[in-house]
Amino acid sequence: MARTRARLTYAIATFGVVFAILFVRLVEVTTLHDGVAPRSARVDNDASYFRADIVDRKGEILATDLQGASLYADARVIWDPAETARDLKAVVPALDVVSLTKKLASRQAFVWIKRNLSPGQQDSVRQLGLPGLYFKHEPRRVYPNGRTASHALGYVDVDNHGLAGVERGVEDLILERRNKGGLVELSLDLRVQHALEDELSGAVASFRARAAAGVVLDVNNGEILALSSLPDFDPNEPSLAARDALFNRVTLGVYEMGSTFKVFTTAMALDTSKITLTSQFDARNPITSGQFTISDFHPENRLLSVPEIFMFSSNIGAAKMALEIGTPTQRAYFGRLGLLAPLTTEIKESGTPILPKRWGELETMTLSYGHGIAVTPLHVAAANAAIANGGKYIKPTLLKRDPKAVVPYSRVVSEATSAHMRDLLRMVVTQGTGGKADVAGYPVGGKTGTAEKVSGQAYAQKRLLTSFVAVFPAKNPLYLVLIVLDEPQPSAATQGFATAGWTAAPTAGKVIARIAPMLNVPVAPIEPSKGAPTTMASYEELH
Amino acid sequence: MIRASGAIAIALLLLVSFALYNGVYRVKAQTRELKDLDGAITKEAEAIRVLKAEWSFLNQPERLQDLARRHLTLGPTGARQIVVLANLPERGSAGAAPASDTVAGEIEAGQLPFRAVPDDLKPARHKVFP
Repeated sequence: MARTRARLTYAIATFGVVFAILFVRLVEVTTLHDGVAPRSARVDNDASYFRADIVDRKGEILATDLQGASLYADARVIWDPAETARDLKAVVPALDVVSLTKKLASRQAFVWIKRNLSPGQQDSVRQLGLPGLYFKHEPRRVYPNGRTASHALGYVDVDNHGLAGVERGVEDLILERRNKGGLVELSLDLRVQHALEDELSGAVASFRARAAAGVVLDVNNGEILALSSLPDFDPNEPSLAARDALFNRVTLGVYEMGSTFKVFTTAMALDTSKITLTSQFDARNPITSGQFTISDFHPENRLLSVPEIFMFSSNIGAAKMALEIGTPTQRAYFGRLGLLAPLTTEIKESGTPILPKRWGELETMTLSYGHGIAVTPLHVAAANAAIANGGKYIKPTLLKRDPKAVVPYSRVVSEATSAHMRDLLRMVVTQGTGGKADVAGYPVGGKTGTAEKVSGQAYAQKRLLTSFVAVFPAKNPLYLVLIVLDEPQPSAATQGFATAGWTAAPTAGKVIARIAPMLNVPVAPIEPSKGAPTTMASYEELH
Repeated sequence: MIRASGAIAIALLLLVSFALYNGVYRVKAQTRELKDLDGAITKEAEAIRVLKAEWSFLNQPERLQDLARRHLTLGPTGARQIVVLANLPERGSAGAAPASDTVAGEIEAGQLPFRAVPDDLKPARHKVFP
């Protein structure tokens, strides 16, 4: 009997404890709810922003998501499809009445009529008061700066999927950061970008060029500060853009860049130590190989030293230097300079270099001055940055780098070679073909390139691709500017010339004059006579 | 004894049911308020986004450049307007250093106009806004 009692007591106690717990928990759950509800409410809020904002290096908004209203219909509720379609056409002119009538007569519960209406159109549709029409609020990508940086940013489709540029290239990052107000910071600087675009479009207008491309690169960490390809487009309305305007000439277009390649030829020549600054080459006679003749644009008809070959842009001299270096060495250096493979950045539209099918002695000679090989302007910019920055090849990037981060690089040429090349680049501007690129206070070093465009099987003499690659300040470069003009036309202002020294070089100079003060580049003392700064090694010193 | 405990139990039951009822209603009211507030926050956040987008739209460099050309006598900063300490002549050596090497010197020598506006950036029309 006593055992039964004890068992009962245990059972009652156990149940009592369990009920007590249930009671406490009940009060707790119903009155003191523990913050579950607000979290679930926030999720909807975040999900409506489909992509993270894109900002420039200073935090200026380049792309953002705004709510746009999209119009759809429940075709089962529509009274008169034909009348509804007519009325809608009056408000939204882009609609097609015939196909819309068919859609509205389909008796489906959901048919899209028009995505992303403007607020005014939305209001007008409401005013119509027609049954069966509804709005769905969707995020719409907006680029408040319009055409500025359009080729770097790219654009999105109606469902907010990236189709080009950074929008496509780093889509994962943009989607990953869309919550919590995340941003994607680009290396671009809106002010520099605008200056580049402004000067490029000025050059296109004054030289009546077909197209143009330009890049501004930080030579020490590979950040792309500005990237422009003209003609450009409005990423807010990519469907209105011509195919040609959507083409990215900086990363996708491959061109024979001409004499800017002499920078690479000279650098590899000095780096192998087979050739020194005092080596001389006979540039008196054109080189003939089969049907092919290599001659100079400004024939000097004498023995030329390496600095002279570079300054006067002698094809014969460059070809002879390349022959002395040899084909395998040339190929190895081109490989190290990244000129043989596609250059992949955050922009996926990257052009594959066109290399000679046969890379023999003749090709080695033509390649030395940039013919027979086609690469993108970005290839040339990155390779030139490597030559100028102390010999370190750094892959260009469109994403902002942490200033403290260690930048990965691969060595291309020695520090000493790079120092010589900086002096040579400066001499091209002070004494050679690039004189019109110089800027008072900001010594510029650079190299011109004038290439005849291939038309069919032959080179067309009247159709030029001119380019100028500039680094500044010349002694200790911080930034690189590359300007490429497609078919500039000679004019009275250029004294009838359309070569790089008259077209691309002054454009690069104008860009540098505008962006150098913005970028806080140290100012060199300005000579009262506006002449060249005296800090450079003189021509005699190099001999 | 049983009666007393029964009465207490019933009283407790009533009390607890009332408290529970009351609690549930308060929670519902607060949930509604929370939802309203969340909605308002979303709306405000959206408004902020629109205003930010409009701000950068109005600050398009191209637009500012055009406005500056029309209404201001300012041009882009040039290297001649920037002087670093190292480029200044030493004290007492004013005669030795070329005076026109600095902006101040150039202004003094009358070589540099006080308001240097490049020709292509001269304002199209002068208009002073109140």
